[in-house]
Parts: sequence; structure tokens; C-alpha cells
Amino acid sequence: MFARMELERPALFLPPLHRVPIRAGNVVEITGPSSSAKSEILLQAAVNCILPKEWNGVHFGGLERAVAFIDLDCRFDVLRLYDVLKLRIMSAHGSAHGTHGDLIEICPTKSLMVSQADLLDDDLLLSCMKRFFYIRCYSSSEFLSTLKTMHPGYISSSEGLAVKLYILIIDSIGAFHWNDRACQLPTKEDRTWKKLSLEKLTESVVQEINKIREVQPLLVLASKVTLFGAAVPTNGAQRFPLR
Amino acid sequence: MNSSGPTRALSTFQSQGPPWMNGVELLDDALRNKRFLPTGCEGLDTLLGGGLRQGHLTELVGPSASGKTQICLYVASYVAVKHFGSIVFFDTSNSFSPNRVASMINQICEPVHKERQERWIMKIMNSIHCQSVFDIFSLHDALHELESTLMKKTISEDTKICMLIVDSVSSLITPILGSKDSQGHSLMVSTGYLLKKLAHEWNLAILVINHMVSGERGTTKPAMGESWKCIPHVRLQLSRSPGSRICCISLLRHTSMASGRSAEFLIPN
Repeated sequence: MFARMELERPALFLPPLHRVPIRAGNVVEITGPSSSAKSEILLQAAVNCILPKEWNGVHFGGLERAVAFIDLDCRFDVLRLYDVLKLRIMSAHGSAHGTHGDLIEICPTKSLMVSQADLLDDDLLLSCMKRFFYIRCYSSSEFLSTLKTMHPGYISSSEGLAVKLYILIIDSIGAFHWNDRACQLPTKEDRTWKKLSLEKLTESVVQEINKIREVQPLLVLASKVTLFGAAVPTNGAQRFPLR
Repeated sequence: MNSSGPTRALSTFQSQGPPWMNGVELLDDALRNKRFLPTGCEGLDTLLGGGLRQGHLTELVGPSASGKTQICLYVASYVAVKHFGSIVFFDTSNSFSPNRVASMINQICEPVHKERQERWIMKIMNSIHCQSVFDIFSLHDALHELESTLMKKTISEDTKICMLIVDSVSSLITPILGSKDSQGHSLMVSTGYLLKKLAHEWNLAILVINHMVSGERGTTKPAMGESWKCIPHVRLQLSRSPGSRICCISLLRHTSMASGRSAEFLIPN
């Protein structure tokens, strides 16, 4: 079955302790129109994954695992991730000390108060940020080659270490939809070259992701923009089979 | 690591493909290379949290005669006067006016010595490179040319290109956007990606202009449709009541701020 949902309270997204039962091995697609907080949900999920369960006696409830973020939209802002991480840490401190730990209003970096900065432990922030891995792809072929190099279920960090993956985030799938629809590789001889049509490309992407999932059970989160009107992309080849 | 199998396989893959960056490296790059370039319009700078950000694609959309080109010219002049770097201006409708730019430069800085003033203005205007592009393919060519110029690395720090302005990208794209033809959409999306790649890899602050078209029930909406909405990092909507010099800018979309905020400022002469 293909699990597709629109989450309204992203702050509570803590796999597997969430209202919706999501476990490793699931493939989740988060779809919605433009500007509907899909990337925000992915960011919150990433933060909850990289945070540790406990640090210096404060309970964060994170998973302390590595997150791989494939940015196909190329709009990721690392400062935003850092802010969300800091806010999450501070709200955990707040609830630990008995203050009202409601949803904290998202404020820009500059308005962070100086007194609250004492609660932010540099070591904690560093260890969390080190678990976040990011790559950008500007075309479907770059995306495919990135997935192929992830095949063993590990990714190589810049220090040359092999990092085991737990969550794979793709923002957003279908980003190259128009390019792939219009573009067709020139065929010199039809025997040796295959036309990479849109369906074939999406099938290859699904194949590569499934290959990774076979080796390593990981949670795949993908966001997708729904375009209204005549330009709705067909979902046929994009259904991820869920085990 | 515990087993040698994955590491052996990994070593064969390590040489292929771009490397993954971890959060610490990303943060370091963002704080060091992606600065905010002030635009000189106070309200706009406050709205953007400092100014136009390097590495971001910022879109400015507004109805005709709302001051979009004026703002572009002013931002170019301001960045040039403050010596943040060079500016490249792609002009699609012959709206670039050197006289206007010269008068704006005069306005921004205090005249020191009248004899040297003209030479000094010329020197500053030399850092603004204007090029006319009249169709989408020449825009692509110009962007590729810009990329090869940037790759040459023979440019010193203060003449390094820090900003690219395209006035306007919508006039090149709307003629080729048919409703059922995917070629036009794919050209639009690939232009967007080309711009974002340039912005990120070469630390450019890119400002593009979009115009308004009529939407449903008599309202106006930004041109280039739904697919374009996901492309810029920041989308700003400009409005100005006729005859007034005060314009209102509101944030339609931002990667790290809630939308809906707006600011007012005096449009520069």
C-alpha cells in the first residue's frame, strides 16, 4: 500500500512515536500544493532524527541517527535547519524545567535572546549537525547516479567514513518532471541507445530506492508538489511498492 | 567501521559522483560565503533580514509601472557604490538607463571633489555590466558564458561578481509557455535550475523580475504559473498606488521566514 498523508502538526512528528504508525522500511510521500509546509515537515523530521535521546540529563527523544537529504528542489536553507534544531533544544529544556512547552513561535535567527543562548550546548549542536548529510541534484541523471552510489546502504562522508543511513529525505520528487517530459536523449542507433522517457526514469528511480531498501531498512520521506489544472503529473509509475 | 565489506565497496564509489556534505560544512559555507547584501532600501532590507542573500534566487513581482526596474537599478547602484562586488544586469526590454544609474550613484554617496566626481562615477559604473538578451536561448547562452567567466578565477576580490539581475525573466518565458506544450515549461524550469546553480556555486545574489497577469475573477496573479512558484527561494510582491512614491513590498514566500510580512519604503528617485 502506498502511504500518502498530509501532516498538520509537524512538531509531533517523531517516528515511531507518532499518531500515524511509521516505521523503518516505510516509504512516505508528503504531497500538497506549493507553500503548504511540506519542506518544513521534512526539516522537523530530520531534526528529530539527528537529536540524541538524552543529553546532559535533558530528554530530547530523538533517534540519534544519520539523515541523508537529497535536495532536488535546491531550496534548502541550512540556517533554517539550524534554527529549528536550536528551537527544539530550547523547548526540550523548557519542558524539563516545568515551563509551558507549547509550540514555540518560529522566529528568525537574529531575535534569539542572549540568555537562551546559554542553554545551547555547542557540543550537542555539533554532534547533531554532523549526523545530517546533504547533497544537491540539478537533473534526473544526477539524482539517479547519487542513488546508485548509495547502493550499499551507506554514504561516504567527506572524512571518508561510511555512514549507515536511517532516513532518506527527498525534496521534492517530481522536481524534474517538466525537463524529463520534454527531453529525450538522441538515439543514433535504436539498438544500442534507449530513449530515457519519463516513465523509464521514474521506474529507474524507484528501482534504485528499492535496491537500497533491500540492503538496509530505511525510512524514505519524499515531498511532492501537486500542480493543478492540465499539468497534473501521472502517478502511475511513481507508486512506491510498500512491503 | 565494523565490517570491511561496505568500506571496500564504498572506496570504489567514492571516486564517482559529488560528495555528500555534512551539516557542519554546510553551516560553515552558509555563514562564510552566503552573506546578505544590503539593497539600500531600508524597508526591504528589514523584510529580508539584512538584504539580498548570496546563494538565493529572489523574485520581485509586481504590476507594470510599480517600480520594479527602478528598484533593480537602485540596488545595482547601491551594491556598486558600497564595493560589495560587480553586478551583472541582463536587460530584456531596454530598460537599463545609464543616466538613471549615474544619478542614483550621485544620490547614494556624498560628492567629494567635483572634478573627480565624474571619473569616480565612471569607475563605479564600470562594475555594473549590462547585457541585452531578447530570448530565452540567448539568456541560457549568457548564463553559460557567465559561468565560464566565473570559472576563470583570475578576478580579484573586489571585482568579483556578487549579484545578477534579470529584468525581466517573465518577458522571455511567457511567450513560450503554452498550456499543453511541455517544452516551454521545461525551458522555464531549466532556466530556474541554472540560476539556482549559479547562485549556490558562485555565491551570487540573483534578483529576477516577474510581472502580473490576470487571474480568476478579475484578480491579478504573478505570471509563469504554478510550476514557477517552487523555484525562487524568496518571492516578493510589489505594489504602489499611482502617483505615490511609497511602495509596499510583501513576502510571498521565503525559505526561512513566515510569509505575509510586509514593509513600506520610499521608492528612490
